[in-house]
Amino acid sequence: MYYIVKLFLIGFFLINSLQGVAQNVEFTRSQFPDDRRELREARRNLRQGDRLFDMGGGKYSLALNYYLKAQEFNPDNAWLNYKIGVCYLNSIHHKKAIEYFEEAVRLNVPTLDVYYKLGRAFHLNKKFDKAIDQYTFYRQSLTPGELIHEREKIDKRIAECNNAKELVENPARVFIDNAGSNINSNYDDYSPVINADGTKMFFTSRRPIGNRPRTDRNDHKYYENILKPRKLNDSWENPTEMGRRINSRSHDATAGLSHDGNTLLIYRGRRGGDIFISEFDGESWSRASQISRAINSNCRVSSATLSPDGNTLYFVSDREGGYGEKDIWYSNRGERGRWSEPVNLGSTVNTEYKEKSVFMHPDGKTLYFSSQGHNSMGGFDIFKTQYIGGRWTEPENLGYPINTPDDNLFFSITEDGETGFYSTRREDGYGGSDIYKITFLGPEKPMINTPERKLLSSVVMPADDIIMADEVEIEVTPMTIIRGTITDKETEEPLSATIELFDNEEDILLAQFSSDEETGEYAISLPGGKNYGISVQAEDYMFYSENIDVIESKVQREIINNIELQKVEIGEAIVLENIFFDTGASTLRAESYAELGVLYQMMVDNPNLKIKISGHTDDRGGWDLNKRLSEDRARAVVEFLIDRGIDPDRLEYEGYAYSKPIASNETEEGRQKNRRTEFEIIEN
Amino acid sequence: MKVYIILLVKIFMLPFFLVYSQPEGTDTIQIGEEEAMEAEKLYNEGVAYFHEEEYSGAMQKFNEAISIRDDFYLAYYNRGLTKYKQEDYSGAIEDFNQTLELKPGKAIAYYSLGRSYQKLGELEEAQKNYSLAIESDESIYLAHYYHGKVHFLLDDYEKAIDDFSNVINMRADFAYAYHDRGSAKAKMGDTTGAISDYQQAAVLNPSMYFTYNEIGNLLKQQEKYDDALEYFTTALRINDSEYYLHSNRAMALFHLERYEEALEGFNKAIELNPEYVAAYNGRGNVKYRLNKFEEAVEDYNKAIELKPGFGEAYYNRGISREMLRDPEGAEADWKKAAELGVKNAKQYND
Repeated sequence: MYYIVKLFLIGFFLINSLQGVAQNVEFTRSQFPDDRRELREARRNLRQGDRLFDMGGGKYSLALNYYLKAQEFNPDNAWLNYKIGVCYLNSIHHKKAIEYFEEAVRLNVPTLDVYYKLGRAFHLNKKFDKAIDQYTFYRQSLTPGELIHEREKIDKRIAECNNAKELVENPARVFIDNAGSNINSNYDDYSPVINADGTKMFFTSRRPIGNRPRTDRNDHKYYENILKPRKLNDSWENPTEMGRRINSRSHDATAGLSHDGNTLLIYRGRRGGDIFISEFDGESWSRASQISRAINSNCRVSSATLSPDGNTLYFVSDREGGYGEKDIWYSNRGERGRWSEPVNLGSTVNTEYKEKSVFMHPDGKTLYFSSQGHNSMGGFDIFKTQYIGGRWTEPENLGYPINTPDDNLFFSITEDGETGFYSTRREDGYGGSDIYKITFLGPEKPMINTPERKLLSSVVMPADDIIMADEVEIEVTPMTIIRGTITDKETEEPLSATIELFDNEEDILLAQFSSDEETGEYAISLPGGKNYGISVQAEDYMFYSENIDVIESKVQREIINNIELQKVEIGEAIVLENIFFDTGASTLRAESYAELGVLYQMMVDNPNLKIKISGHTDDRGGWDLNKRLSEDRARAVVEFLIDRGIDPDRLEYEGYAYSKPIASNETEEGRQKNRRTEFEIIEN
Repeated sequence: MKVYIILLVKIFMLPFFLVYSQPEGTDTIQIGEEEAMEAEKLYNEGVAYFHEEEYSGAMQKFNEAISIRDDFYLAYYNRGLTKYKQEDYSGAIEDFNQTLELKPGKAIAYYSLGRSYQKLGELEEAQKNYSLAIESDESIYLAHYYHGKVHFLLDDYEKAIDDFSNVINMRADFAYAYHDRGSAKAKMGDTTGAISDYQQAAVLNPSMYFTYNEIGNLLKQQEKYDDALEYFTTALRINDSEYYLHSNRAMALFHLERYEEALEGFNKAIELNPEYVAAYNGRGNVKYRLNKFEEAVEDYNKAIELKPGFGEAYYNRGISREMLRDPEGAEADWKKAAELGVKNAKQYND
């Protein structure tokens, strides 16, 4: 039953994901009866490829060359497609592995492992969901017996894919740049170690060095050697080999560098792998020597790093007592320079999987290391832990794109935290593992948006800010209209005369106008409650003045006031109606000035005119008093005119007291008329 | 002797002719009260023109009224308002001062002087006159309102709040006072109080789209982007022709990582106002988030071209340039931004 279900699943998966199964074509004569020579060549390539493929390691790339030639001849061989996929999977071009594994599946390659490898190819190419599908399918395809060995590996891969999905979602802010062709080669280049300020670097390369470079029979790659590039400005010059004191005939790899750059920790492959040390005295490096038996004994010790004071060594070892195959340990140097028995860093850092390549930051508390455990996204990822309060913090994955589903190892960083180096395999590399530079951009710089604020309403929508003064209510005051006709006294012909209207109290000329030329009519509208003076002048006519009291009235009134003007003739006298004196005195009151001004103007306009001013009183009081008063008043008028420039010879005056009444002294109205000032023309 | 006035007016040109039934052809001379009435009549006609917003007609009538009666302070006052409406603020100030000379202590003249000075940007002079208006008549709520507004503009938010509260006590339905008090509270850091006032303003006058905008801005500051988005959307429902509402809404969408919608919003803002630098800056930010660093730089360039003192655009351009592997360009931008007062930029200048 189990197998029936399994077959169903496989069939379903194949139909859905790979669109059917094709026919596998073997490299046989029956398949290629007409291409014998080509078949022979293809089979030869196949054999060569298989020989190298079976050696694995560095030989995959060589095997691939033969396989690709055979593939040209017969692209439909299931195993060949599978093997090409494996070669690509072990190269930096693992993306290409996908198509060959898929083709191998389509050709029904007789191994379930192809699904795991296809999953791994998807995994390395960051197609995590597809990878999970393949891993899951592979797990479901295995027998219970096979699962015993494979389950943990498969589940780990699926967990890595899930970790990767999270990490890729929140990438680290870094630039990753290949360290360039001055450092990297077609071979594996890795384990860069730098000093605190990043001015010195040493790294390991498996490139051929010397005339007769040797290869390691285990992986068929050249032995490791330590190289030292020189930094020039921001770039590194071609690296030089460190010489025999450092590089032996076996594996010699960079394991660590002190922060001052003068102590180099070296991994040597002898006796399973030990840490050696070399010191720089300012001129040359000392011959590498074992760091300590306590550290190196009975185990493989690879990467190592010193604390800033040089008294603690953190290192990676497979010694007994660890949590996994390889763990991070530390050892303290005593007063006599002896290293203590190593102590495991503990389960917070070390896992059941491998830890590798340890680096202590110059701050002395931040430890970087690579691990296959924790929340790795595949292979070794780089982690950071800090020693705070006597404990190591939970390791933190440095994140994508520093870490990838492939191995990411040998991280080191400058003291300022801005630049790091590590080694990994990427498609843009020069071949094998390469050294990459990491530029840390720091935390995300928050961008600034500039929202538009509208804090004050009236700025957006101007308020009606006008407070207006209202209309006024107009109170219509009843007016008095004075109108009449100005005529010649003798002929009664209408006259065009100039009329001046004065506010006697305020001594203001209110209006100056003319009577109608043809009719002699005039009209004026005045508010009541005031005393007005009217003076009328016409050429060749005697000056005429009048004083009118306009009473206040609630209704409109009309006063008819016809005026007759006399021709200027000697002996003609006229009353100056608007000359006023204080009671019983001869002081001219201010309201007289308007009329006096008219009189003055007449004298100016008629330079031959000689006049006599006469003063008159009513009959109250004695003669002498009235005589003197009337004379003083007449003189006051004359003096007014003289003061303004009229020749005194043109002026005479006389006081008549009450000797020449023009009205009855029996009534107040008559007495008022008798109190008067007159002028008379005596020469013209 | 002072000549008061000389008038020779044809009687048939005057309505008094009808009243007095003067014979045709005879001149009637009008003196004293009659002149006053004529001035008042002209003044009232000026007021009518003003209400109909025919300011040149109003101006002519007030001028005529003043030519008849040069002590007619109301005519000066309303002529001042007419000049104010015609944006002749200096002329308005002359007339309001003349009003006060003729009628010392006239509160609305002080108030209108304040408005005119404020229009000229002379805030202290404006504030002095608002104070005098309030001293003369404390019931003029607009004097309190603008008094508060000047306090706000002078960054004296506490006093502004007092003034706006006075207005609210006098006119509880005056939505502007709630809005502006909300803004003053926001400036004082009282976000809750500010939002409450803004909400009351919106209740009193639901057409005040800019009030929803401010609530959105405050909620955005509180990182309540969903709520902020709702208010910006409401504001746009009331008035979708305001470019800045599209831009502000797009900023909320930016924070919600709804980048495509944010782009649409900034595009719309730019369509409505091609010189709106905040929208170019915001669109640049969205493009940065979409990893379109070169396009982002183009937007920041445009913003800087339009407003060379726009420090935020320099700062943001620096971030994009950093991602374009142009550290020198980035540092130059951050330096410029810091010079222009962008605080964030200073930390990246070393």
